[in-house]
Amino acid sequence: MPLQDLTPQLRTRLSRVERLVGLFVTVATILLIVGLTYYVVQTAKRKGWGRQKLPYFLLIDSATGLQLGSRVRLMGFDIGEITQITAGEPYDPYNVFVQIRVWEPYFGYIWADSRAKILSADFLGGRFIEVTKGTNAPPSFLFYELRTVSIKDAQGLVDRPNVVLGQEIYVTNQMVLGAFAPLTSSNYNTIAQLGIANVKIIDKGVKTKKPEGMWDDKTATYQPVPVENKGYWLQVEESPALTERLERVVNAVEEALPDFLGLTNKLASVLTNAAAIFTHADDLLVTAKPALTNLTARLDTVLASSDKTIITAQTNINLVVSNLVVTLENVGNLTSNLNAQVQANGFILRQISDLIVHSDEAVQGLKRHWLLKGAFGPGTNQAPESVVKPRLE
Amino acid sequence: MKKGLAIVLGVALLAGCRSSKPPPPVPLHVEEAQRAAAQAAKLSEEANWAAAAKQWDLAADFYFLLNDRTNAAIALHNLGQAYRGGDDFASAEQALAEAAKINEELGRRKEWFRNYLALAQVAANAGDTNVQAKRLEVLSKAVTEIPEPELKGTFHNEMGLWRLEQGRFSEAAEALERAESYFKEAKDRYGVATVRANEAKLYERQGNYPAAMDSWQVALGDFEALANPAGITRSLLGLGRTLLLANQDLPKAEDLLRRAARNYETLKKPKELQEAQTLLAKCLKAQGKTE
Repeated sequence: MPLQDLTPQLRTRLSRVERLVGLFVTVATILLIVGLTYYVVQTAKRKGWGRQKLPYFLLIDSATGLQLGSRVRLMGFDIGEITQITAGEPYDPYNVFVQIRVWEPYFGYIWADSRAKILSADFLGGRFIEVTKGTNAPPSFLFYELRTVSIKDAQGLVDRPNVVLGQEIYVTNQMVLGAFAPLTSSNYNTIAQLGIANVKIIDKGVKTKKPEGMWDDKTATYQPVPVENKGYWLQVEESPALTERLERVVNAVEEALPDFLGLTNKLASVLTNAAAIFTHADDLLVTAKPALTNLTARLDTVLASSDKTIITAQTNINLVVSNLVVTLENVGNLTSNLNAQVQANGFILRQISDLIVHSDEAVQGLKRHWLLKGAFGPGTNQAPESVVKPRLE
Repeated sequence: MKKGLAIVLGVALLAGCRSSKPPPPVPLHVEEAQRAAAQAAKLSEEANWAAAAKQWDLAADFYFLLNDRTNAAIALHNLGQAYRGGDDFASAEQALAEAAKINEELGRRKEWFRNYLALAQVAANAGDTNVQAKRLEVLSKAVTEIPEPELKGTFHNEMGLWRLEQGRFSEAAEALERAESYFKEAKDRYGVATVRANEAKLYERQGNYPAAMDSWQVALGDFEALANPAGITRSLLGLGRTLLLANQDLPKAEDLLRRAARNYETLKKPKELQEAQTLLAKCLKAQGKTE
């Protein structure tokens, strides 16, 4: 029916409904936009969008438990993610190449003495990378102007407040000047005496947004960042994967088992020998009775046989004791492996405790929720009252 | 338009309602005292009197440390009841008297009345008739101030028992009747069952055995409905005793007395067990059985 055919009252009512629908659509759109924006902001934070990222790489024995996109940590913060995991060349000493990207500003904490630790994350064999903060070495990437100047030109820069060395100076494996050492006249003289033709200089007065240099451990200098940069090599302290640890424990048990079995076999032979001794002794006693006349001769025989038996028993006991020592050592290895296992997963109790506490908090929250609180009964610890009951005679 | 907007807002608010804020945390020592009292109440409920007495004592100490005299008096009252349950009447009297003193100072008349009722019961249990009479007299002056029918019923029940002991049967019957009506008003089924059992005893003392048997039977049914072991056992004993006194259906009386004795053994009530065993011996003798 066309709108014009409706009564004025109905038309007014319909236009109200239209306005209401319009308002609802507007509110829903605003909510959608706000939600989407929030999601995008959170994702950007999580993924490090809009922040400078620098590559680092690790060479490790096994990729077990590592995944692309897994977080990398430093001092408890997520500082980047794993971007590449590939197997090394067949003849490479290292098995796996792992590349990570570290977000701004965390690469400032990674210096030449930083180490990457591959740690167990859970009981299911997951592992993660944790980078340690540098303490006493040059930063991995340089964000100041880097120049290579001749020793002659360097003379003109002596005693300038912002000018420092961009390399380490060695005299037969002994470092005499470290990177970032100021270019004082005495330091300049030291360099000049060593006959170094060119020297790398950092001007701390000129900061750069992009990294000017990357520390090279081989030459102990900052080198310009190459275009195809696979990153700075982080040395690794790799803890073996859970499966490997378990395998080691099983191997230790496997190694210990034959010793246990050997021990029981030896014990059986000792017992057999002891039984034989008693049999011999019994025979001797039986034969000794009628042989009183040749007692001395028989006694000699008995003593000789006893001596032999004792020597055999002593040998067997020595063997048993030595086997026992080996067994105990194996048991010791076993317990130390278990101890290492417990140490590596030390956080699990805490995590279980947190899980219980959070579950309790969740249930307490549900108990207070307006919709669900009716499903829970009243508190059991009600305030006590004075009780007096009628007496029954 | 406005109405529609209000509905939309209402629906949005209702859908987005979150749970109420968690209550502020109870201070540690208050929680400690509350936990001790709750534990003690459970022990009293289980009639584990020795453990209940220790726990109520602890709860009273905690409340005194917090200077919470109201709850301390409650703990002391229940401590007295626990002592009474364990037949330590001197300690019970001491705890209840202390509770009564505190409640009197605080002007808590209803609580004070409860304390005094319990004191009268302790005196009755201890067989101290003079003290019991004095306390009932004090209570009879105060009972008009008390609005709770449950407390009034308990008071009249005590009066009825007191008069029963004195042999003033008509007054006892009147008091028990009033007690029953108050308990009915309060919808206290345990109170009603108790009064019926006491009435049965009154009829028994009057030599009205048929009425006594009927009352014991009704009381037994009530206590069974309440699943109250002490009441059930008392009714079994009473019914068996009445049958024995009336010299009727002695095998049934024997069976009832055996059941009562067994239950008292389970309930660890030596005094009542002895009574049941004595009655059983009499019953067996009356039947010519030698056991």
